[in-house]
Amino acid sequence: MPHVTLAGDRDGEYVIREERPDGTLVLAPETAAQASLRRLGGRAATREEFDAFVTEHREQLLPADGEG
Amino acid sequence: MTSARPGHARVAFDEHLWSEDLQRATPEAAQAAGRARRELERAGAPIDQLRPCEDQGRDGTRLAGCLKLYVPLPAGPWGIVFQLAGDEHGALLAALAFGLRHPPTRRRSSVYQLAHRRLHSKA
Repeated sequence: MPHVTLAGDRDGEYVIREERPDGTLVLAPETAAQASLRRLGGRAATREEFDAFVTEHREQLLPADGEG
Repeated sequence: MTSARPGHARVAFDEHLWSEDLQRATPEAAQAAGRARRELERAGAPIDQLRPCEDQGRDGTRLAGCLKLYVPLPAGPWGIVFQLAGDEHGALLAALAFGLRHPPTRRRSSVYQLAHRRLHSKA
Protein backbone atom coordinates (compact mmCIF):
# COMPACT_ATOMS: atom_id res chain seq x y z
CA MET A 1 0.00 0.00 0.00
CA PRO A 2 1.29 3.46 -0.80
CA HIS A 3 2.80 5.28 2.11
CA VAL A 4 2.04 8.93 2.89
CA THR A 5 3.24 11.34 5.57
CA LEU A 6 0.74 13.83 6.87
CA ALA A 7 1.62 17.23 8.25
CA GLY A 8 -0.81 19.78 9.57
CA ASP A 9 -3.74 19.37 11.92
CA ARG A 10 -3.03 15.64 11.84
CA ASP A 11 0.48 14.35 11.33
CA GLY A 12 2.20 11.00 11.10
CA GLU A 13 2.80 8.10 8.77
CA TYR A 14 -0.12 6.42 7.07
CA VAL A 15 -0.84 4.02 4.25
CA ILE A 16 -3.53 4.49 1.61
CA ARG A 17 -5.92 1.62 2.23
CA GLU A 18 -8.43 2.65 -0.41
CA GLU A 19 -8.64 5.22 -3.19
CA ARG A 20 -12.22 5.88 -4.24
CA PRO A 21 -13.38 7.02 -7.70
CA ASP A 22 -14.18 10.49 -6.41
CA GLY A 23 -10.60 10.85 -5.17
CA THR A 24 -11.34 10.23 -1.50
CA LEU A 25 -8.52 8.44 0.26
CA VAL A 26 -9.03 6.05 3.15
CA LEU A 27 -5.95 6.09 5.33
CA ALA A 28 -4.72 3.79 8.06
CA PRO A 29 -1.74 4.23 10.37
CA GLU A 30 1.47 2.79 9.00
CA THR A 31 2.26 -0.37 10.95
CA ALA A 32 5.74 -1.14 9.65
CA ALA A 33 8.22 -1.60 12.47
CA GLN A 34 10.37 1.35 11.37
CA ALA A 35 7.41 3.72 11.50
CA SER A 36 6.35 2.33 14.85
CA LEU A 37 9.80 2.93 16.31
CA ARG A 38 9.80 6.49 15.00
CA ARG A 39 6.51 7.10 16.79
CA LEU A 40 8.04 5.72 19.97
CA GLY A 41 11.11 7.92 19.61
CA GLY A 42 13.43 4.95 19.36
CA ARG A 43 15.58 3.12 16.84
CA ALA A 44 16.14 -0.54 16.13
CA ALA A 45 19.03 -2.18 17.97
CA THR A 46 21.93 -3.18 15.75
CA ARG A 47 22.90 -6.83 15.46
CA GLU A 48 25.82 -6.15 17.77
CA GLU A 49 23.56 -4.51 20.36
CA PHE A 50 21.14 -7.43 20.22
CA ASP A 51 23.94 -9.96 20.65
CA ALA A 52 25.29 -7.90 23.57
CA PHE A 53 21.84 -7.88 25.21
CA VAL A 54 21.52 -11.64 24.86
CA THR A 55 25.05 -12.15 26.17
CA GLU A 56 24.48 -9.84 29.13
CA HIS A 57 21.31 -11.66 30.11
CA ARG A 58 22.17 -15.18 28.99
CA GLU A 59 21.87 -16.60 32.52
CA GLN A 60 18.27 -15.34 32.80
CA LEU A 61 16.85 -15.58 29.29
CA LEU A 62 14.90 -18.66 28.35
CA PRO A 63 16.30 -20.53 25.34
CA ALA A 64 14.84 -20.13 21.87
CA ASP A 65 12.23 -22.86 21.36
CA GLY A 66 12.08 -23.17 17.58
CA GLU A 67 8.55 -21.88 17.44
CA GLY A 68 9.18 -18.55 15.81
CA MET B 1 6.73 3.57 28.18
CA THR B 2 7.97 2.30 31.54
CA SER B 3 10.89 2.22 33.81
CA ALA B 4 11.79 -1.31 34.81
CA ARG B 5 12.46 -3.17 38.03
CA PRO B 6 15.70 -5.13 38.41
CA GLY B 7 15.59 -8.23 36.26
CA HIS B 8 13.12 -6.57 33.94
CA ALA B 9 13.46 -4.71 30.64
CA ARG B 10 11.69 -1.51 29.67
CA VAL B 11 8.85 -1.92 27.23
CA ALA B 12 6.94 0.41 24.93
CA PHE B 13 3.68 -0.09 23.08
CA ASP B 14 2.74 1.71 19.87
CA GLU B 15 -0.98 2.41 20.07
CA HIS B 16 -1.53 1.94 16.34
CA LEU B 17 -0.07 -1.57 16.27
CA TRP B 18 -1.67 -2.55 19.54
CA SER B 19 -5.18 -1.41 18.61
CA GLU B 20 -4.93 -3.16 15.22
CA ASP B 21 -4.03 -6.42 16.96
CA LEU B 22 -6.80 -6.09 19.53
CA GLN B 23 -9.37 -5.43 16.82
CA ARG B 24 -8.56 -8.90 15.48
CA ALA B 25 -8.62 -10.53 18.92
CA THR B 26 -11.40 -12.48 20.61
CA PRO B 27 -12.74 -10.99 23.87
CA GLU B 28 -10.73 -13.57 25.80
CA ALA B 29 -7.54 -12.68 23.91
CA ALA B 30 -8.13 -8.95 24.33
CA GLN B 31 -8.61 -9.40 28.06
CA ALA B 32 -5.39 -11.42 28.35
CA ALA B 33 -3.55 -8.85 26.24
CA GLY B 34 -4.80 -5.99 28.38
CA ARG B 35 -3.73 -7.68 31.62
CA ALA B 36 -0.32 -8.47 30.17
CA ARG B 37 0.21 -4.94 28.92
CA ARG B 38 -0.75 -3.40 32.27
CA GLU B 39 1.72 -5.61 34.09
CA LEU B 40 4.46 -5.00 31.52
CA GLU B 41 3.99 -1.25 31.70
CA ARG B 42 3.96 -1.37 35.48
CA ALA B 43 7.09 -3.42 36.01
CA GLY B 44 8.79 -4.06 32.67
CA ALA B 45 9.25 -7.40 30.92
CA PRO B 46 10.69 -10.12 33.19
CA ILE B 47 13.91 -11.14 31.52
CA ASP B 48 13.61 -14.69 32.81
CA GLN B 49 10.41 -15.08 30.78
CA LEU B 50 11.83 -13.70 27.54
CA ARG B 51 12.98 -15.94 24.69
CA PRO B 52 14.93 -14.85 21.61
CA CYS B 53 12.97 -15.31 18.39
CA GLU B 54 14.29 -17.34 15.49
CA ASP B 55 16.44 -15.61 12.90
CA GLN B 56 15.06 -18.15 10.40
CA GLY B 57 11.89 -19.86 11.64
CA ARG B 58 10.54 -23.18 10.38
CA ASP B 59 7.41 -21.28 9.37
CA GLY B 60 9.41 -18.99 7.08
CA THR B 61 9.43 -16.04 9.45
CA ARG B 62 12.62 -14.11 10.04
CA LEU B 63 12.62 -12.37 13.40
CA ALA B 64 16.25 -11.48 13.99
CA GLY B 65 16.58 -8.84 16.69
CA CYS B 66 13.32 -9.88 18.36
CA LEU B 67 12.36 -11.50 21.65
CA LYS B 68 9.01 -12.86 22.81
CA LEU B 69 6.86 -13.48 25.86
CA TYR B 70 3.95 -15.86 26.09
CA VAL B 71 0.60 -14.55 27.31
CA PRO B 72 -0.36 -15.29 29.93
CA LEU B 73 2.96 -16.23 31.44
CA PRO B 74 4.57 -18.69 31.39
CA ALA B 75 3.14 -20.65 28.42
CA GLY B 76 -0.22 -19.18 27.35
CA PRO B 77 -1.68 -19.55 23.85
CA TRP B 78 -0.84 -16.01 22.80
CA GLY B 79 2.42 -14.17 22.50
CA ILE B 80 3.90 -10.72 22.26
CA VAL B 81 6.87 -10.31 19.93
CA PHE B 82 9.14 -7.41 20.81
CA GLN B 83 11.81 -5.75 18.73
CA LEU B 84 14.90 -4.79 20.71
CA ALA B 85 15.31 -1.05 20.34
CA GLY B 86 17.07 1.83 21.98
CA ASP B 87 16.26 5.36 22.95
CA GLU B 88 17.93 8.10 24.98
CA HIS B 89 17.42 6.05 28.14
CA GLY B 90 18.96 2.83 26.84
CA ALA B 91 17.64 -0.53 25.71
CA LEU B 92 13.93 -0.91 25.16
CA LEU B 93 11.57 -3.69 24.05
CA ALA B 94 9.16 -2.26 21.47
CA ALA B 95 6.03 -4.41 21.18
CA LEU B 96 5.77 -5.44 17.55
CA ALA B 97 2.81 -7.82 17.52
CA PHE B 98 0.30 -9.63 19.74
CA GLY B 99 -1.58 -12.71 18.67
CA LEU B 100 -2.02 -16.45 18.72
CA ARG B 101 1.08 -18.59 18.74
CA HIS B 102 -0.70 -21.44 16.91
CA PRO B 103 -3.81 -20.26 15.01
CA PRO B 104 -6.41 -23.00 14.41
CA THR B 105 -6.48 -22.34 10.68
CA ARG B 106 -3.91 -21.23 8.13
CA ARG B 107 -6.16 -18.33 7.17
CA ARG B 108 -5.22 -16.63 10.42
CA SER B 109 -1.74 -15.27 10.87
CA SER B 110 0.28 -16.28 13.88
CA VAL B 111 1.89 -13.63 16.04
CA TYR B 112 5.18 -14.58 14.35
CA GLN B 113 3.80 -14.01 10.85
CA LEU B 114 2.33 -10.70 11.89
CA ALA B 115 5.61 -9.59 13.45
CA HIS B 116 7.53 -10.75 10.38
CA ARG B 117 5.35 -8.67 8.03
CA ARG B 118 5.74 -5.57 10.16
CA LEU B 119 9.47 -6.06 10.60
CA HIS B 120 10.10 -6.44 6.87
CA SER B 121 7.69 -3.81 5.54
CA LYS B 122 9.35 -0.68 4.21
CA ALA B 123 8.28 2.62 5.73
